[in-house]
Amino acid sequence: MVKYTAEELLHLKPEETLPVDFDAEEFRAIIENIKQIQALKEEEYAAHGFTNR
Amino acid sequence: TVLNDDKSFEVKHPLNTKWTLWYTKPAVDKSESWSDLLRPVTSFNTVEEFWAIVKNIPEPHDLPLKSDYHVFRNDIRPEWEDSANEKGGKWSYHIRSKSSDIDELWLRTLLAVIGETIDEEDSQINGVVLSIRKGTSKFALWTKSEDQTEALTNIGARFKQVLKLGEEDKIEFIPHSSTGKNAQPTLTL
Ligand SMILES: [Zn+2]
Ligand SMILES: [Zn+2]
Repeated sequence: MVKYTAEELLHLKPEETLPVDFDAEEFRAIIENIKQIQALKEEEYAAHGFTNR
Repeated sequence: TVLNDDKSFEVKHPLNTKWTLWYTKPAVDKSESWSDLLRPVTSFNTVEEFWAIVKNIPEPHDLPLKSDYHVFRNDIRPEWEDSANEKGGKWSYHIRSKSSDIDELWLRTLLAVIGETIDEEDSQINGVVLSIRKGTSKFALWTKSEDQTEALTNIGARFKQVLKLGEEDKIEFIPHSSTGKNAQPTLTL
């Protein structure tokens, strides 16, 4: 079994950001978008309480 | 030699197995079903690919509530219905979500899992899950068996070290077969 300690893995961390084989920009955008929707819902809830549920 | 130079761009360091990162997206409208929400993001089988992914995705503190990150071996789905998980269970630990060290503890957990240092010999570990919830977040380490008490206890003890837990902090092992409202832990450490 191939093993690495946490120290060895940290030692192998590249300085530069390497490319990935998925659309990371899109992934981050989806997450940003969800956070905005959740924040809007929170605001709505804070403003109207239970009345419009 | 080139092979000894671990900074070389040519040489990637292979992990013991392939791993897949999955993300559970919080539902933002009612039409979304579980299968729309849980998706594989990408896979990796070298140390270098792992770091590239970590640098390209949001850290746990930047995830919206009701998100999960899952990192599972090979093509195991992060669901108890997957045949690899059927006879297994999970060690879990709840942490206050405002706690600033979730990012660090998640990274420590990932390093222990993909480096295979959390498991002594045979690969008991199927995957690991971080669930971001309001007030509390959950770390869960999924194993392939639920009855290998000695192996599971050793893994649990190492999981506590990775999470920097003290004597007074408790983690619980719950077999997937008993998951539900009345789930009883079969082991507590
Ligand atoms: Zn070196
Ligand atoms: Zn941030």
